[in-house]
Amino acid sequence: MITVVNPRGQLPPRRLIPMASRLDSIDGKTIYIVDIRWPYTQQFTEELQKILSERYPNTTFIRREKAGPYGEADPQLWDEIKEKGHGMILGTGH
Amino acid sequence: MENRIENPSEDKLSSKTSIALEVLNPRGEIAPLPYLGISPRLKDLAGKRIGIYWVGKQGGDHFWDVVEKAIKERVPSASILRYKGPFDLGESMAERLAKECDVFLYGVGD
Amino acid sequence: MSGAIRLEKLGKPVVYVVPDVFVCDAQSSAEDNGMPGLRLAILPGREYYARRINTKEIEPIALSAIDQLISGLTRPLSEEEERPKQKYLKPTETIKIEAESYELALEKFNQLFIDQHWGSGLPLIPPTKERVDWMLTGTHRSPQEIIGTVIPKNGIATIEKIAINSVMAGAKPEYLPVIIAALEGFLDQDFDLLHMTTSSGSFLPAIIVNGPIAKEIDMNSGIGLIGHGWRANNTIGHAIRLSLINLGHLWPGENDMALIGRLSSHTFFTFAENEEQSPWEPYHVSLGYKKEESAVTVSTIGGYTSGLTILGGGAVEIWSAQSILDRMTSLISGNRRIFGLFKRGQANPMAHPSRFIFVIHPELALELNRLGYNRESLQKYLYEKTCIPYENLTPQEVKGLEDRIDASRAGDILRYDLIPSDRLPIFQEALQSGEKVPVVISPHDIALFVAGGFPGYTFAMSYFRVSHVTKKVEGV
Repeated sequence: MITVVNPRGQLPPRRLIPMASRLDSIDGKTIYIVDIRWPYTQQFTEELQKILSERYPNTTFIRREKAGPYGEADPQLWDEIKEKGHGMILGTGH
Repeated sequence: MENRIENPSEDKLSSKTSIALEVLNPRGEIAPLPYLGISPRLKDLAGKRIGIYWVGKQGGDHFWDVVEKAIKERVPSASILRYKGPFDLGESMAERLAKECDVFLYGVGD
Repeated sequence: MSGAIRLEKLGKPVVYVVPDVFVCDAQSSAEDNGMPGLRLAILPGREYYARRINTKEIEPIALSAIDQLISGLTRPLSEEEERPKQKYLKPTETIKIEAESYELALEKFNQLFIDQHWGSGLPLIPPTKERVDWMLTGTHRSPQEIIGTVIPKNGIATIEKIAINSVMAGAKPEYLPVIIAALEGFLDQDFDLLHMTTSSGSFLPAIIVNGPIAKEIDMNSGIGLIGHGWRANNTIGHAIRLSLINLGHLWPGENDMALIGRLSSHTFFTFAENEEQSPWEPYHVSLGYKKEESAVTVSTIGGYTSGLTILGGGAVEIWSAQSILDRMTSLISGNRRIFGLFKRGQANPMAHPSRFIFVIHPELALELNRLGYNRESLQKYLYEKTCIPYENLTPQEVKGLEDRIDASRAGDILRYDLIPSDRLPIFQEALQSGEKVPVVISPHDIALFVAGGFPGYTFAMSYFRVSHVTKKVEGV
């Protein structure tokens, strides 16, 4: 038998965040579509807004572009969504 | 690890029993090749035909231009013939050139 | 070098002129060619390369070499120069390493092997008899079978020696047949192994595996296909790297003169075709092998002739089949070496016609398949699309191609520059107004593989026409 030493780096402890509770329905709600501004995501999120608005006429879909590089938060936008929105679609990851 | 090698006694993993690791030689055996000597040299270059064979790599012609001029000054009775070709001039070209010259300068080989 | 020795053998005194950085290489090469005493005139490399730009700059370097040149031709021979002694030493079969513990022996072994220039710089597994025997269980071939000799020093490549190097690389027995097939490819007469392993241009091989063995030994052909993290891909490449070092007696700066080293120098670009996600028949099947057979294609790439060029795909830029086809065609047609600077008997890399490998990512292959292309029709499309109207050739380019045709017909041409006889009529007929002239000699000089993941990139690799060989995997 040989015993070897674990070469893996120790990960920092992770804070687990519970997900927000889901909506029963999106009727009458405001959903933000947030474009992270990766190349060519604009046409996708615009199209998404159009299709979803047609398919769910009782829901308001607001398309917004996130400020800053794609790895960074946009606190102002997050505050706005917290205040006025009920849900968010973020895209597109790559 | 470095320290362990310097001070094997500090190596906790090391036992006092000596171990022998026998490994196979990874080298390809080279079959013995007959070695040839080089050709006898000339006493001097007076009146001789000197071939300059250039492998065509960029800038080599500038080098050989200077060499040609300097040898002509040093040995005015020698004649210089210039050739250009691949690294290995090949058998037929070698035979032709050997008839045309007495000695050769060959290169510049990188 | 071999040219200078030819003249010596014909009884002519020769001086071989070489910059100092290549002296070791030249001496080694003189030995390999059986004339260790060949006289050298040594130039200061640091100045030679920088100052050869014109006659005025190079003059002092050239003048300082005159004495060496003349004396090399006239100084009487020494005994050793006249009758050099044979230096053959029968190599030892095993090496014994003693230490107080296995860990120390392992360290000692690794240091000894790299000091001897028997390693690659990465840690090695000790090739003990037991482990080599285990490796040899991967093939039915006899350990004593010789597959050829490996340049530059013509070391004999036996199956056993390949197995020893495969152990050192960390390979598994089931990889051994692939490693042997790749080496058989390098030793094929159509492969210029000397150029790939020793040229200052820093070339490397792509090693591409086809057939069922790729899946059986878990080779990567998806995301990260030329990268790390796959034992089969990486240790097959490493076993080949070590075999080239040890069977050929090759070492950087001594006789391997790759000036910048190489991309992926320890493991090369070793991957499998993504046959599962390819809409086309596997590459080896297109060459006439059976689907149930496995094959390894080895191909020189890189160096200054282009290592790896991304042509599209990925997760950033948008692409279409046509946009990538357009990049492929402009890459091929932008390479006009077939017309270029060709002079009979002269080595000029810029006049060696090219061969291309395109590694097509599966999404593009599926799209091309939907558009009606298969491998053969795509090769034909690229070949035809990249032809250049005769009217667009400069007079010098026309002359270049005419000279190449004449020299090919006369057989007085380097194999790098040759137009094979079956292709000659095509080029002959194309040289007239209204016709289009191909820039690659044959559609087969455009090799197409499907590999990569979803998403993937399509990329190109290229070299001269030679050194692209496929070998069947035998002895599994």
